[in-house]
Amino acid sequence: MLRLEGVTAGYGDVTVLRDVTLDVRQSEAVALLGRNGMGKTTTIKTIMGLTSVRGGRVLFGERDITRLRPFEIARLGIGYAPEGRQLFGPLTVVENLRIPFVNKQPDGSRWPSQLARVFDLFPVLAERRAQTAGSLSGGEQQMLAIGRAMVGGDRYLVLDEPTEGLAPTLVTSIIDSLKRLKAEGLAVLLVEQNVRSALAIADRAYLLEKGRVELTASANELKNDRALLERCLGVGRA
Amino acid sequence: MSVLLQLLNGLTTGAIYILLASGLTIVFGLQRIVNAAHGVFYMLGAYLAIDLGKRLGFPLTLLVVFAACAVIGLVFERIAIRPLIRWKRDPTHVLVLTLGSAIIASELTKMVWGPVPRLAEIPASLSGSLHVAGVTYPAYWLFVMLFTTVLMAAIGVVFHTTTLGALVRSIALNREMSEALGTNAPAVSSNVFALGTGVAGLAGALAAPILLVTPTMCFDLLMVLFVIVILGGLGSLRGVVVSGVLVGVVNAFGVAYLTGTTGTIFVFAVMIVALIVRPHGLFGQEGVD
Repeated sequence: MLRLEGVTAGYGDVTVLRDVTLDVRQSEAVALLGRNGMGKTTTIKTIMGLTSVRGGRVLFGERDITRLRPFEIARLGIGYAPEGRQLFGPLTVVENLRIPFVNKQPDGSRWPSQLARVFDLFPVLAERRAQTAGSLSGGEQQMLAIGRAMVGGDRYLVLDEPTEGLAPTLVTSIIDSLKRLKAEGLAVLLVEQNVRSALAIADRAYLLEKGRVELTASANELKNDRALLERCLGVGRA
Repeated sequence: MSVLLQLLNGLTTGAIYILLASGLTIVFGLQRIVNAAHGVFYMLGAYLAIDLGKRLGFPLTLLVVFAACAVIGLVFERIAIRPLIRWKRDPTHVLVLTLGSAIIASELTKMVWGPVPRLAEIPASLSGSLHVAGVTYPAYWLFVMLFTTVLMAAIGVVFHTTTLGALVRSIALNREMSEALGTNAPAVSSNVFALGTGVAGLAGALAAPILLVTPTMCFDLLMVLFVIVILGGLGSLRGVVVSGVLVGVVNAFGVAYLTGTTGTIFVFAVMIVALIVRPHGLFGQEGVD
């Protein structure tokens, strides 16, 4: 289980998250909802060790990972696809995928199966394998960002706006891919502006407002409770 | 003096420049720091080559110089530079720290090896001369060019075809993202720093029979190296190869035909003009390449 307990965190002197508690259990998909600037990305970056934590702790299983370096957290099996993809543009598709792999497994025997797993989910990446990441289309880049997270994250995926800026058909295809990953037993923590997309995958959701968890509900509750959904849709669209 | 001879002279000093600038530019690309102590390893390599050359023979001397400078570089990075980076100090702190270290190293060198300039002997196996298109040219100088060409090609191949190279490039492109994918960026950066100081030591060993070996040589080339690194585009290995050749040749022709003393004035003129035309340098872009 991945768990934040009363976490207060931010960047430099700025505090963004205040006393945030949330958890993501094994094989579960959880959505973080909320307007821009409410702390969704900061929550994810805090899990990856990319913010300064002033209070509370981050637990992975029984282990306190609050003070671990980002590379140590990544090597625990948490795959990360950040906002804006942040691919290594001049590196090829395969090189981008290889980086999380070599960092986790110095012995290369599992590499072909890892690559096959990504190419199976996103066949277009196999066609583009020798191309540089920077030369891919927006949709392909997003697939590569998720694929790269899959290689490093054999237990948990932490995805920040994986459908941002994509055409509706591509959004559907990315969401379907994420459903497949979840069905394979991966836990997914997802930041998503589009509440409908988020609820298509998520079992539960947290609504963040001004750096605090304002509300938590199951996906079914949200789908059935019109008022609750309106509230999330309202903030989601803003 | 023939044009060809000047060209060969320029290419030879250019080769030394390239070896030195390559370490500076990669370290800048990875850690965003300017290591003003880089020349110390060049100086150390030169003195070690003078002392060890006769006893160990040329090939083994190069190997020992590389290893010694790499190890000392690694220790220096760990105890002096890395803490400043970890504490997120301003890059100026690193500049001043490395400059201060270079001054200390220069004084220590004076104490250990004395203030009198020295020159290493050219290894016997390379002491002959070659006749190239009517010009007689020392074989050793050609060896320096060949050595640099092979070494830079090897580093280029490693950078662009191996996983280690991909890791290094990913750190230079986006350190935070690379770390979030499991890259131990400080460790990789330390090793690259050590590689750079090792190569700087090699440059010193190779230059020892050609250029004067003095306790202030760690500062001699610093300004020219900065020009090469900036002209090539910060972080670009390809850039330092091209700008190293350019600066070496401009310097040689400047000395021979115009000033008679120093060609540096033209080197800086070229840099200023080049940066007006291409503000990010010849190969300036994100990351290292």
